[in-house]
Order: sequence, then structure tokens, then C-alpha cells
Amino acid sequence: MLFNSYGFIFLYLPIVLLGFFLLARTSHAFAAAWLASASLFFYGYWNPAYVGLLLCSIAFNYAFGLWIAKAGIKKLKLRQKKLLTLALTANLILLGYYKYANFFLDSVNSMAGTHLSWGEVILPLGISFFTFTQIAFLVDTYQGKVKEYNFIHYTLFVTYFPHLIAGPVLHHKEMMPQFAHASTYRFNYENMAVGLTIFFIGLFKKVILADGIAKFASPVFDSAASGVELTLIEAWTGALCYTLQLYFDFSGYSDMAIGLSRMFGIILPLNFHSPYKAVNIIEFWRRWHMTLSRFLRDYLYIPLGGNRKGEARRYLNLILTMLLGGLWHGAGWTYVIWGGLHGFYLMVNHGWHAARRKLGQDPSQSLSRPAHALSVLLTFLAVVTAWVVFRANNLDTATAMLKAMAGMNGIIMPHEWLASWGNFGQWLTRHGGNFSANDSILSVTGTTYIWITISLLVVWLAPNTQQIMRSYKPALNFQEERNLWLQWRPSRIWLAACLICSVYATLSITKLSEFIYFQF
Amino acid sequence: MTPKHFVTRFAYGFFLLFALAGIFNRIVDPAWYYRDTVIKGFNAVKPEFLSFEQRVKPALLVRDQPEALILGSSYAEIGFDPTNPFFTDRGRMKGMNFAFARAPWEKVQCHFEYAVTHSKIKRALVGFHPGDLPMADCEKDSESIGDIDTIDLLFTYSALDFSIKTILKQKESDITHTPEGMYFYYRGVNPANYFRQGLEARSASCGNSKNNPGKAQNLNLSGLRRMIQSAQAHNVELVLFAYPEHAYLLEMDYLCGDMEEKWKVMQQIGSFIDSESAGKIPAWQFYGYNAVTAEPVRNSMWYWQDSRHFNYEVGNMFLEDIFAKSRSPENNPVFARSLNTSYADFLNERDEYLRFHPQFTTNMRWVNPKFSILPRN
Repeated sequence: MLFNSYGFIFLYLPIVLLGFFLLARTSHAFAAAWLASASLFFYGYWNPAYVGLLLCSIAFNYAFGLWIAKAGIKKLKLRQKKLLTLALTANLILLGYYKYANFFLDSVNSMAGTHLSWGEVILPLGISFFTFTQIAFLVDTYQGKVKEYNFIHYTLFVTYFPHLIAGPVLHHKEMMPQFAHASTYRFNYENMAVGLTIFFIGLFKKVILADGIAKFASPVFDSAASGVELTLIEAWTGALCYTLQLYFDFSGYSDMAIGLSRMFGIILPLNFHSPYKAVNIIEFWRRWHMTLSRFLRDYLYIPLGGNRKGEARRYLNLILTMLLGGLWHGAGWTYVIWGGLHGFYLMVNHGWHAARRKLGQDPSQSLSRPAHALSVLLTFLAVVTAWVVFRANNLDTATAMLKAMAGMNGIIMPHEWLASWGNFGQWLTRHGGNFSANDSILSVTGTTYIWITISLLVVWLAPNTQQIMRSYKPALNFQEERNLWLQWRPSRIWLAACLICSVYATLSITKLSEFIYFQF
Repeated sequence: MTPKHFVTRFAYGFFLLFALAGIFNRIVDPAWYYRDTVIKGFNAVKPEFLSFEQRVKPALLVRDQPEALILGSSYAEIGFDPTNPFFTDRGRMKGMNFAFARAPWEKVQCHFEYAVTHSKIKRALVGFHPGDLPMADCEKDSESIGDIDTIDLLFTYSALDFSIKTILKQKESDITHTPEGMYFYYRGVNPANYFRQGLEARSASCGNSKNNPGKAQNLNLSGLRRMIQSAQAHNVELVLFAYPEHAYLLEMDYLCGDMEEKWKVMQQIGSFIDSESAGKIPAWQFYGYNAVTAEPVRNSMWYWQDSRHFNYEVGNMFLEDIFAKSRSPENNPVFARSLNTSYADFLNERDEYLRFHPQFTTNMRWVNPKFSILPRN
């Protein structure tokens, strides 16, 4: 079931909400169990076969969590360590089998010319998310940070449907206290108003903006994959469209998850905070998929030594963390290279900051307006380049796209422009302008460029959902000091705006369109 | 406003607006599916039906249960009126034009399969092009046939958009389809130009693989066999016909040197149908030189839209030939002839026509000066 489907909006969500608050009048445990069951139903709607796998994973990790905690109470450090190692290994084997086994064998086959095979392995939805969530739980139990072991709450923490499939990656210390709090189980109109507004803003982003621009991105990447030599303009158009599609898709999903959760009175952590406004790559990763960045930092980068073992080791740790972060997104070399590219960007960024500090400058100082704009643009271009590798089906497609973007196929304009530009087109031709003899793979009616322009304006200039909702604590870890011009409050104008956006977005749900992050 | 007011008003407003969109789409009915509210000047003309016909026609077939069907591509959709009295046995059978624009043979075969399994049809008139008529994988190729989603028709932004366009285009649009599914096409819009393009296109494909000598011996007719078997199994009176062409297109076949092979292909198909059905399934063609097939090309024509699309007035004559004259001992068909007709007879007819109608050649030269034709010596 998708958040952007009629079944979810008109049936599943109202029933689950109603059941939750009615049962909560009788018992909080019943209400939590209802929500966990509904989440399992939500998960099983795709493929019921994997509900068993999810439940086994929950039972296994909960049991190991308890044993590790008990060993901790009895001060049996070695036993605790063995249990943690065993549990982590089991989790990684599960993830490795479902997500990486075929990738590993394909890589071996292509290098050694062998034909090894595991057969077809269908990736269970959300396996990366629920595995990482539980690894964090086990590690924190080992470190004595976990305080609550209520099984229903734990099951709900893992399966909670707003986050189960595509994040945010939850941390038990944020969620368990909320599940235990009595106020969560009381219907609250403010939570409902805030939740509905955020949910429909997210739906609008997904259905209107992300799906709207997606139709311009796919033909370009598909053409590159089929060997078509793209022009500079086509390649950049495709890359920009995908960059914006991914932005609105993930931003929309994150808003919808936060909004849905808020309807149940539970506040999720902030996961997406206008990443394309970042002035450098370090900041980009503090704004994009924030909960994954936090997980990678806390459970990979810092255990590897972080920045505590010298500059060289710090850069190595960065690269390793980002390579694994890339691999987390998918079992393919394009993801690994994408991760490596971002690792390289981070190294350069940290190196630049170190150099500035040596020169007596403070890298954290705010920039002048032109320098700020230039930094945002430079960061954005670096991110776009990396997204090309991320989106491409294989390395050949990525190379073909990047070559075209670098102008290595020549700077040729679509031949439709020659006609539509009239005398200016003729003038350009006389003065060396090249127009393709063939039809462009994109419909160059101007629609594509209107989409790109509007989307970029939204991305760079508009306040984000959390900023608009800032008076109502829309997400955990969100702090906004500035007083922005656009502030949501329950008023007639906002009601009208929300109604128009929500009805327009809901009516525009015409086909099943999965969120890009579902595949990770 | 309190959050409570916001939530309650939002909920009421959301469902109200949603319901209003549905009611509006239901009344305007741009897909012409519900057909219960017809208001002249508001929704009587359905200019957007073409966008829906692939989904709506199969649903109408299931709902209306027609007994006499016309199947094929746009030639059949434009050319045959399913209410024709000869086709419907003077109205005793309910007729429907179940043909679709750009439907290749495989789709037509799947449409036929769908029709015999979803409607109690008694008669089916099916058009084809002389050539391969292979078996379609209907489960794969046409799995979505008949899928009609009420949500899609009522509660989507595209439906709302189509409804608004339907209302706005009432004054400027003519009726495009009849309720029984026949398509009117762009009647009267410069057919000479379409002829010019049609002849050019035919000239460009002279001697292509489709018309290769020896084709007749290697035809794949597995799909046709399946259709005949389905018709027999469901007790459907199947009548087949090769799509007619304007005589200028026949001349292009002749100029290209493809005519004889095409004729052999047609004869091969005719023999196949006879052997598969023990002579019980009639198959017709309308190739010939007469006042209808050789209508002079002008900027406004009565019988033809272009060199292949004929108007329903022509279709009416063909239907009379097929379902009345060919079955009456006193009459002979005027235009229709068996697929097995001799090629020599056809050539003699052509020569005679050209000899007595010199304006035919003059007119063709006017259409396109490149193509000069002469009768055989």
C-alpha cells in the first residue's frame, strides 16, 4: 500500500486512526498493539510472505536485546560482547543474503568468468531500514543506553508504518518514550490539524512535483542506456529533472511520514531539511536523509575512529563510511561509486576547511550573499553530477551521461528550437550554432524548462514544510530561529489553501507511483 | 480558528470537494460511459471520447451486450455503421462498432476473443490486411482490455480536465462518434492532400518485405485459425473482409509490381478460410474499379477520407452486398467479391475501366504528377 493511493487515504488511514483512538480509551497497550498490527498489515499488503521474516527479525533482536541487557546487569562483559557480535552477524547475514548476495556473485562472475548463482532473491521491502533500526537498538543496549523493553512498544517501534518502508531511520530513545506517554493516546485536534497539513503538503510534492517532473527525466536516462548519443542540453535537462524528481519524491515522502505520525500524536525526527540550500557538502549531508547520516556517523564513522586518530585516518574513515552508505542504497557498483564520490567531496570539503583554518579564517563564519549563492550553486552542481551516477542503470550509462554533460558530444541544440526561435535561430546557424538534424528525445515545448525553473525556485527560495509549521514543533531535532514570512496557523486562508492543494493532489493520483526510496 | 474547527472544516471540505468533482464528472460524462444525462450545449457532444474509447468500448460491450459486432482498425471504425439494417437483420440484432484506431491484427484478434467471451454475439464482421495474421498472446498483449475504473472516470484530475474541455468545446465540436461506436473522423478536410501523402508513402515502400514475391507460400495464419475456431466454438457468424483501398492505391501496387503477389496472398487466405471452416465462413474483398473505389480525388470527396479510409456510405453499400445481395438468388454483389477471384479477371476489369475513363489517369496525375499509369496493351 502506498501513501499516495486512494486505498490508503480513504480506507486504511481513517480505519487505523479510528481504531487507535477508540482502543486507547480502553487500554494503551491494546491501542499500541492495534497500531503495530495495522503496521504489519501495511507491510504485508505488498508481499505477505515477508511479514514472517519481519516478525522473526523483531523477535530475534528483541530476545538478544534482553539477553545483552541482562548480561550487562550481571556485569558479564565478555558474554555481552559475544551476544552482540552474534546478533549483529545474524542481522548482517540476513541483509547480505537478501540485498547483496547476487551483487557479490555477479561481481565474482564478471571477474572470474564463472556462472555462480543463488537463484532469484526478492528484496524484502524496507529490510535496510528495519535492520539498521534494530542494529542501533542492539548496540545501544550493549552500551547501556536502552531503558525500556516493552515488547509491544518495541514491535511498534520497528514496524511503525509511517517509517517502515523508507525511513526515517528511527532511534529507540526518541520513540519508546513517546509510545509510553499517556498523551500519545489522547486524540488531539492540534496534532490532527498539523499532521493533515504536513501529510497533504507531502502528497502535493510527490504527486504534482516529483511525478510531474519524472516524465522528463526517465526518457533521457533510458536513451543513454540504449546507446543514444545525447546532446549537452538533453543530458543536463535529464540530470536536473532527476535531481529535482528525487528531491520532491524524498521530501514528499518524509513530509507524509511526519504528518501521518503526527496524527497519532507521535513526532518523528527531521529527515530532510532543504538539502539543495546547503553551502557545502558537509552541510548537504546534515540536511539530506538526516537520520541515515546520523546512523552512519554514530554506528560506523565514530566506531571506525572518526576524527580522533589524525587527519589521514579521518579521511579514510570518511571514504569508508560513504562507500558503505552508497552500498546501503543498493547492491550495485553505481551506488558504491556514488558513495565514493560523496566521500571524495567530503574529503575535499574538510581539507578546504582545514586549509582556511591554517590561514586564520573561520570556515563556520557566514558568507557574503554572492559567495553564499556561489557556494550553493557549486554544491548543487556537485550533487547533480553524483546523482547521475546514482540514477544510471550501469557504469556505461553513467559515463555516457557525464560525457554528454561535459560537452564531449558537442554543443548541439535540438532542431525544434531552430524553428521556434525564428530569425534568432537562423542568425545562430550562420554564426556557428549547431542544431541537431533529428528530433530531440525530449519534447522541447518549453514545458520541461518551465518545470525546471519553477522547481528550482521552490527548492532554493521557498521555506520548507518544517519552517512553515515551525510554531507547532513539526519534527524532533528541528530548530528554526528565523521569523519567516510564511507561517502556518489554523486560519481560513490556510484552510482554503490546504483544501485546494489536498483535493488537487488527491485527484491527481492517477497511477501507482512508488517512492524512489522504497527500493533501498 | 481553533485546531478543532480547522480539522472538522477540512474534513467536511475535503470530502465535499471530492464528492462534487465526482458528481460533476458523472454528469458531464466525458468518457461517455454512463450516458444518462444529455444536455444540449452542455455535454451532448463528447469531443474527448477518443481518449477513453480503448477502455470504455469494452465496458460498454459487457454492459450493453450487443449481438452484431464490427471489428478491426480505424478503417472499420470509420467505415461501418453498426446500425445498418442489412448488418443487423433489420434491427433484430443490436449492433456495435467494436473497432479501434491503430489496432493491429493481434489486437483485433484479442478484441474478438474478448467479445465472444463477454457478450452474446451472434455476428461479427472482421477486417484484415492481406498478409500474415499471426496468433496473439491475448493474456499478455491485451491484459488490460475491459479494465474500467470508476475512480479513474470520476475522481481524477484528468477526468475533471476532460469534463471542463467537454463543456468548453460544445459549440466548436461536431459529434465524433455515434453512440454505437462508429467514428466520424475529419470529414471534408482536404482529402486530396491525404491522397498525395498516401501515394508517396506507398511509393516509398515499393517492393518492401511485406510484398515480397513468394510471401503467399509462407503466410502465418495461426491467429486467423484461432479466430475461426473461436467463432465456431461460440456459434458466432463470422464474416471476414480485406480492407478496401481506393483504386489509386491499387495502381500504386501495380506500378510497384506488387499487385500479383498481393492477389496471391489474398487467394491463399481465401483458401485457408475455406478449408478451416469447410466453406462456411465467407470472406470478401472490395478491390476494383468503379464509381466508388475510383471516386475522383478532389478537395472535397463523398466516399473517401484518404486512400484507405472510406466513409460509412461506402460501408453501407458493402454491407448490403455482404448481408443481402450475396444471399439473395435474384441479386449479385456490386462491389464485394470472393477472396479467390481470379487475378486475370481483375486485370481485365482494370484495363476496361482505364480505357473508358481517361479522366482517371488525368486525375491521378493531378494528385501526384510523378505517377503516370497506362492500361495494358
